[in-house]
Amino acid sequence: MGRLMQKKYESGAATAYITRNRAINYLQISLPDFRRLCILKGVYPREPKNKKKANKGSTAPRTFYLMKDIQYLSHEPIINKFREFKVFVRKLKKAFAKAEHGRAQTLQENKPVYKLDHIIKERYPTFVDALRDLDDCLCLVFLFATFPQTKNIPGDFVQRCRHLSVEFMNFIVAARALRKVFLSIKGIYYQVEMQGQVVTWLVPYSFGFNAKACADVDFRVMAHFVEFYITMLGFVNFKLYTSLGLHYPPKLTFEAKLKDDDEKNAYCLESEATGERLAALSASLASVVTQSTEEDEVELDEFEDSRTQEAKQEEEKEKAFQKLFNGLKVFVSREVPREPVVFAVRSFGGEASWDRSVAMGAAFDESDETITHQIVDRPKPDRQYLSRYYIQPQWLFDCVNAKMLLPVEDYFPGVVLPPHLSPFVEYKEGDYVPPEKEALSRRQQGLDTGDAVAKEAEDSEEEDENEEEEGQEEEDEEIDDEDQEEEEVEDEDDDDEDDDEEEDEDEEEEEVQKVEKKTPLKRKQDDDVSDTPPSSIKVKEGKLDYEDASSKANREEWEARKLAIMMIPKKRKRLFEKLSKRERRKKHEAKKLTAKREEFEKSQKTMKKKQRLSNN
Amino acid sequence: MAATKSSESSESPQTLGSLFPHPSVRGRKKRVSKKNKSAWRKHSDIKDIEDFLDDQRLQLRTGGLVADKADDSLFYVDKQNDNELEAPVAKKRKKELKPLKIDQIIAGETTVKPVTGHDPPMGSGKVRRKEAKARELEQKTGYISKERRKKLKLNSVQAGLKRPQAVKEYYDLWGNDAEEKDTEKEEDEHYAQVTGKTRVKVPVRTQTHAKNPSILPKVEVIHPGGSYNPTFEDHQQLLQQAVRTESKKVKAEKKLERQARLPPKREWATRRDKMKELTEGLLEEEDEEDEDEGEEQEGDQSVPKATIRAEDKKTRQKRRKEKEQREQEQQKVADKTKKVQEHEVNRLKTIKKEINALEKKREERQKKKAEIRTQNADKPKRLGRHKYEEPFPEFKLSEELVGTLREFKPEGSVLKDRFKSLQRRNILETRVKAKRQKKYKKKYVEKKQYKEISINV
Repeated sequence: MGRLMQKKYESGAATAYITRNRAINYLQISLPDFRRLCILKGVYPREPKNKKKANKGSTAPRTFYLMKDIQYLSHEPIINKFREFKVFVRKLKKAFAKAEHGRAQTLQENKPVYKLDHIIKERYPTFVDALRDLDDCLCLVFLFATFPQTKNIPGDFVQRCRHLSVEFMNFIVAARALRKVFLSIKGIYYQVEMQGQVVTWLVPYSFGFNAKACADVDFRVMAHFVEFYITMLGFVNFKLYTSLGLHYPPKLTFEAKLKDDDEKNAYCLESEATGERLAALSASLASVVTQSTEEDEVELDEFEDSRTQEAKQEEEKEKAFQKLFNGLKVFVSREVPREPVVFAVRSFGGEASWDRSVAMGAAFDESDETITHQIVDRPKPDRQYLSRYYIQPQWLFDCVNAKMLLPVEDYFPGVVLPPHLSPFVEYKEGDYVPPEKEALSRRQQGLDTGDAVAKEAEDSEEEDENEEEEGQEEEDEEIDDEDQEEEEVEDEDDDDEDDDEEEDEDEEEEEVQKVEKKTPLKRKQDDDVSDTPPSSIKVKEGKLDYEDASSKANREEWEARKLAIMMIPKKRKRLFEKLSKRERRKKHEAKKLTAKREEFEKSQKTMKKKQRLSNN
Repeated sequence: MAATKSSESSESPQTLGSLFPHPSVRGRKKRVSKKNKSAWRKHSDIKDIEDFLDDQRLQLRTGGLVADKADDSLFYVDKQNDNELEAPVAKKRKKELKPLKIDQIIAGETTVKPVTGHDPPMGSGKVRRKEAKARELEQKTGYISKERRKKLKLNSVQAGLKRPQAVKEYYDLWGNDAEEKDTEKEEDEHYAQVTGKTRVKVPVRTQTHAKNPSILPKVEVIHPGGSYNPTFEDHQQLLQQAVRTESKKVKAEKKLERQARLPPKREWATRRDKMKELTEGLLEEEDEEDEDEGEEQEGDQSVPKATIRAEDKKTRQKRRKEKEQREQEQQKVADKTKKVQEHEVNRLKTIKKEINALEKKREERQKKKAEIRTQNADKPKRLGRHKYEEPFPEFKLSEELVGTLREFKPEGSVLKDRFKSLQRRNILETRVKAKRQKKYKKKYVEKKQYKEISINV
């Protein structure tokens, strides 16, 4: 009776959250300033668990922030700078209105500026934290570097973005940190690895600025992000450069500079020459200390352990990968997008050059006889040199993704290119793997030296030519090949194959499948044979079926598994069934896709045949 | 010792106070009446006072009050021989030395600068001379004059007058961590010693506050079918995705259309329906009306008039009995609860069971909620008035795939992609660009001039 009624909305969600308008009142700054502050400090809106409670009983849609966050923001010294700037703008307006130009000028000279150093330190206490959050930063900085300077983009953002992105790319080249490249329809995805952190970012293709495509994007907000990221990338670049013992701001080596002096008068202003040379990515950077040719390696204690062995092998592989294009001298033709190509070549140890009239920093001419590859993207280049390969640009990126030098034959000019596979896909068990990817992974494992897909294509062509006479032999070869693969795959597959069967209602079908899997090609052959009408039905002499030891073991294992599954309690059985059902569905989809592919290939083949016939 | 001489040769010692003494007017004084204020004003002589004040003002104008000046500034010791003063000077030179009379008159004694209307016109000799001087100075010392700075549109930093701000833009931010902290601590101690106060404690952002707003990756790589030269299967998958989203959209649109469509003609309102609707409540059937009225009457009756009769009043006895009965009932209830409470000890086991069941239920509910939360973890949250709208996935049709980098045209915009990604990751709230509303309605007025010119004449 005498208990005090607790007042509503004086604790809990109602006080833990604050609406945006109230936050603005609390901080006494304008909405645009609040937005900027939040972006700079990394404070984001939250969705309360119970909106009605947080909104003090009202259900109107609102943007909420954590009260703690806003309290934390209120101690930010940059708020004072915002206020100073507001006053400055007011004074400047007044001076202009009164036509006091002298005063306006002095005001502008003393324009209040703020620094973001402490915020970056606060948000990223360690360097690794900053590296971890670099994806967004790189995306935006590389993007803004491609923009024209319009009134939407404040200050010298475009220039600074360009400088920073060039510096970063130069570092990647120097550190050989590039891992993956993917040419997508949106832009080019790059992945690098620095100090154990994997960073992915997207760079647009260099085309004109399309204002229409990004009409509904709030430019002001994006500019605030860029403002923060510019400062961040500057510090990150500094740290990265110093960690490699390079000068920051980057300096070119002496030879590069000499060359610079020769060229600079011809193409650009003196002040721009070094920047242009850096952007060309063709020259190497000067280091603070004269580096020894080989890095000092820390001798690890040798343990005769399989793990260390593996680690060692992996390290060696990595090192070999970093030197992928060592010794390659690449000449880039003018129709090829220069920057991504040169970036890829240089970050794996190759040399790259282009026509002098295209850009600054060309290292050698087209007439150089030591050039090993020329990147061409025209159907019929006027070939001049027998000493080099003429290839399409995709070869470079495919090599990087495959971590090995691929045969150049598939990439000759005018040839229909093999598909450019995404290196970011990880295939799980049961997923459909396209045959191109399978061939590639086989080649990576060193199982197949030749190109299986190409071989198949060749085979098919030959088949076409020789029709059915030689077809048999060819097929035999193929069968042998594929049988091997099949066996390898089967060992792994068998187990999961088996789990499927147990829960399957229609076990029979599965078993039939299994039989098919075991001898699919032989059956096929048989089919070929059986296609010819049987002359007469005969009873053949039976054969003794010797049970193989391994198959017996397999069978026993299979049975044990079946029993184990039977023992699963009812509680868990549902989950198990769910999982296995999902797996089955996946397999079914994969099968569908293979069938589709086969059909597609068949149609392609017939098309080719028709073409050939028509040509003849 | 040489004789002391006044610096101003025109002055005599007697008139030191006033520089320009007026001779006093002599003669017989006229007798006048000063009976009222105006007469008094007219005939009283205040000349000497005014003269004094004029003199004072003049002194102020020409270098301050003489009386206030130090002796050194007024007098000097003449050490020169009087004979030497008459040193022969060439006639011509003498003429040069001596300022013109007119100049002397104009120059006067004032130290106040004359007010000029404006700067000397551009291109006049004075300006040219000034410019030449400035240029000479610039060549010699590199100093750029204010005028030239204005002309060249340089600010003081660019002109090299001010040191440019902080050349060291970037430095090792993550380098010497420990030192900074030490200095901060020292500063705080110093502050406390001097002011006797502790600084305001700045809240530290904890991990829970600064947590990542979404579990989505920062850069989502496009589906492998989005390669510029994809495999057949990947491309098909991407197309299927696109078809799915598109068909969803179409379905929603169709639904909207269906809902907004006119009903079939047979369901349209006829004239009779319209008439009926218009006369609704006017021409009602009688029996209905009656019913309504009856109800109304009942409603009226249900409110009784408050009349208190003597026989309705409770007697004291009745009251007492009622009270006793009430107390008895209360006692009964209390006894029962007490009994139940006493017997609760025997029910311990069941109570335990009940509690367990309740807890289990709660746990289950929590689990369910957590599951839902994890399921929706990768979905954008509702952070504002508007819902997040997934952008349409980028794709190329089969016939648009060219297979070479040279002929290939990119799809979509990276800026838009980034913007949407920020929204998807709960970093930005979804907003719709506010349309600028026109403040005033446009008004069309036909002018007379326009009327006169017409084609139909």
